[in-house]
Amino acid sequence: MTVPRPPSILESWDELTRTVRPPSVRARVSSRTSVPFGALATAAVVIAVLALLPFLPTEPPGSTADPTASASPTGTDKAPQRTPRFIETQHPSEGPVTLFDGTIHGWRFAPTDVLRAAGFNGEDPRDCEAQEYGATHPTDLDFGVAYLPSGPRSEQVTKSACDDRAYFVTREITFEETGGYLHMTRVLSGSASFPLEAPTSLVEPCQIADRPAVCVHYLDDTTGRGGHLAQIIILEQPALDPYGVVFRLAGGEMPFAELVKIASSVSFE
Amino acid sequence: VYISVSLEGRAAVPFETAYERAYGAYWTPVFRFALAWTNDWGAAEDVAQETFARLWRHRSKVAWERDVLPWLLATARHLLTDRFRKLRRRFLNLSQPATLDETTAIRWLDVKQAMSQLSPMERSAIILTVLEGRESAEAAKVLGISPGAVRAAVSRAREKLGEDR
Repeated sequence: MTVPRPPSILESWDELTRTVRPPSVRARVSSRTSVPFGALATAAVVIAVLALLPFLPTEPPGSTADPTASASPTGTDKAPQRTPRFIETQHPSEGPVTLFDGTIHGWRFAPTDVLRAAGFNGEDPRDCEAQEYGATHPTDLDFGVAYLPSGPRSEQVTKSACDDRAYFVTREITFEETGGYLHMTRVLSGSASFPLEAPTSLVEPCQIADRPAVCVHYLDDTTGRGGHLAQIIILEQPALDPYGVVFRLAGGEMPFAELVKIASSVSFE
Repeated sequence: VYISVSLEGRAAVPFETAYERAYGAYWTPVFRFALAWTNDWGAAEDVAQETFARLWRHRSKVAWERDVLPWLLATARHLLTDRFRKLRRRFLNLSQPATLDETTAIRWLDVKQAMSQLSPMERSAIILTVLEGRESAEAAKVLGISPGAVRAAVSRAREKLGEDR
């Protein structure tokens, strides 16, 4: 009796993804072409509201409602003082995986959906149509790195800004010989929270160049390398005024100590 | 009012038709490339959708007379490095994809776990060359690295996955 060979990982990947189909193209095209009508409808509603304004009831005396509260709540207003808690997710091959959810250096680190459920909706501080710039365009979030591992590498820089002020700068570096990979992001945060999806056992508070930071180690750190990305998140400007500034370095295929060395050499201009 | 363009050497067609053809033919390859890079089903869907949104937005500038897949892959590659823009999926996403049925989702988690041994570059290199059948030079152009680096990444990926050469 011949036992059929089980499919390889690559064959399984191919089989699972080969038949994935996109959403209806008609729906997408029609939704894109309907934007002007949406704008017209919005304009009509605005005009109607403006016309009705004189007849609307005024707020009762003594009301403490903040008319801008729903538009841009500050991060400190929204950040609950919580003790660390944990969520359980089931993984068929590994058993339960506990994802980190807790407070480190006064900031909440948890998976995105947990943060949202907890009311941290200020992740995107500037809800606007971003302008994108290349590497040479100067922004207020530019940063320098004094130390990088040697060897040929390719780099891609992306800068996003609203109203000429950057809210996101990223540098992605790939080391061609080793396949090592760095993804560095300096970003504004609208609340004292940061999305983090990593097993609890890998997360610990740390200090990088005397700054408060969070270290997320590789899954298999015995060799200093692993398939899971390691991360170092530096709370560069943890106080929100109105935004905190966070630097995040994610790396793969290089020892964690090397990532610490790189992160320690970053200069924030 | 349609503006006529040509697609793949055929007679001129409206933008909308050209877009629909590209969407139907290339959404899956773009999704697969994004999935290879992210190892995250939901993020890959987002990137594929955003890539085609950009195709539509830049429809008047796209060279429709040529194959648009390279343009799509290059755009997806750019988005993949810029995918933290909305600060939603900044890190590894271990969540189960919502668009899959339970059986497929469980299989996917196993495959995903195995593929997580590979770096994004290694996954993308092996998917583009071995599964999508692209030459090293083509894959190198998409990934922004040298053809030699692509071959090295594929070799490492095979070794990690225990795949026969």
